[in-house]
Amino acid sequence: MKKTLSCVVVLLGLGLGASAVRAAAVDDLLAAYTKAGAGPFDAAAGKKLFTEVHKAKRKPIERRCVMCHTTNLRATGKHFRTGKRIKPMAPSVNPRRFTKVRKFKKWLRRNCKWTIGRLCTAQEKGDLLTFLRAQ
Amino acid sequence: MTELRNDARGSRAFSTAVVLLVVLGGSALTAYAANQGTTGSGIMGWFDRWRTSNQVLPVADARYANECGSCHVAYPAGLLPARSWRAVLAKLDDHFGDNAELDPQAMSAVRSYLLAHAADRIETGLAKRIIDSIPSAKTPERFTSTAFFRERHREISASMVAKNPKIGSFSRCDACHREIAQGNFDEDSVKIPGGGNDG
Repeated sequence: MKKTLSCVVVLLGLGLGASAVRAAAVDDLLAAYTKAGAGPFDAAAGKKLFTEVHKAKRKPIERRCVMCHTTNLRATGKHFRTGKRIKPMAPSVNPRRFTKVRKFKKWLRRNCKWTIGRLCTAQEKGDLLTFLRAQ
Repeated sequence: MTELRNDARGSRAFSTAVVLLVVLGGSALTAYAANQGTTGSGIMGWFDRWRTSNQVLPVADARYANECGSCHVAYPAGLLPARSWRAVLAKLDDHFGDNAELDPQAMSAVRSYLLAHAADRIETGLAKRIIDSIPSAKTPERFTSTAFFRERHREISASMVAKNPKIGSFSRCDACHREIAQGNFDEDSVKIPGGGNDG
């Protein structure tokens, strides 16, 4: 009985630890954006950026994040060109989302440039992350 | 009459024996060659080249598989020569219309893998025939644009692949080549989704 209880405690601890690590990556990123002069961050602005149409000079002329990530962030997305599956953006169904700073930076850099046509500002990145982490 | 029947029986027995010999011999050779690795001379060398003629080295580098395979199938390096990979890597910010930029660390890992295993670094299997099909003045950036690819897919119509809603493009090798992860492009491993063959 004691053993079971300690197991439960250890598991609970691990779970809490893991979620602390998860939150840490997001918090680190937001802190860095704040340090760069941005903030406070606004989930509604992040949502707008994520769903609105961005015009490009080359095809596809109308680009949106949701083209690949889908409007339902809890669903599996699909790369519009290659068809490759993209794991859900919502941390509530995909707990590994936004746990790696390096991965987030890599994809945000690529996807801002492709979708919006330029790098995102610290404010935009913070807004996006604030919106996405709550899903 | 009896003689005729005996003759027929005899020839049946003979053909059964031949078939058995070929099957057993073949599998023994395959097993032997698999044990010997990929290089060899003489009859074994010939057999080995035949056995691996529709194969490329499977992707064995986790970093490459992860970085490049997150958007499309991780193409085996042996499908294109080193000069092609260099050309592709030189413009990852406009990678066939997508941004696929890598940070310097990832870039260096991907580059080393591709250049070390490019088709012109390998002497066996498909790689040699791919290289032979590319004029030395040409630097194809898509495997699907090589003469070798086109020749091998001449019987596959656009409606079976590019216009097939389940595939969409000839670049999606893994849609039909189910054993691409093992480097196997043999026709026996092909299944075209939604028709084309009994897959």
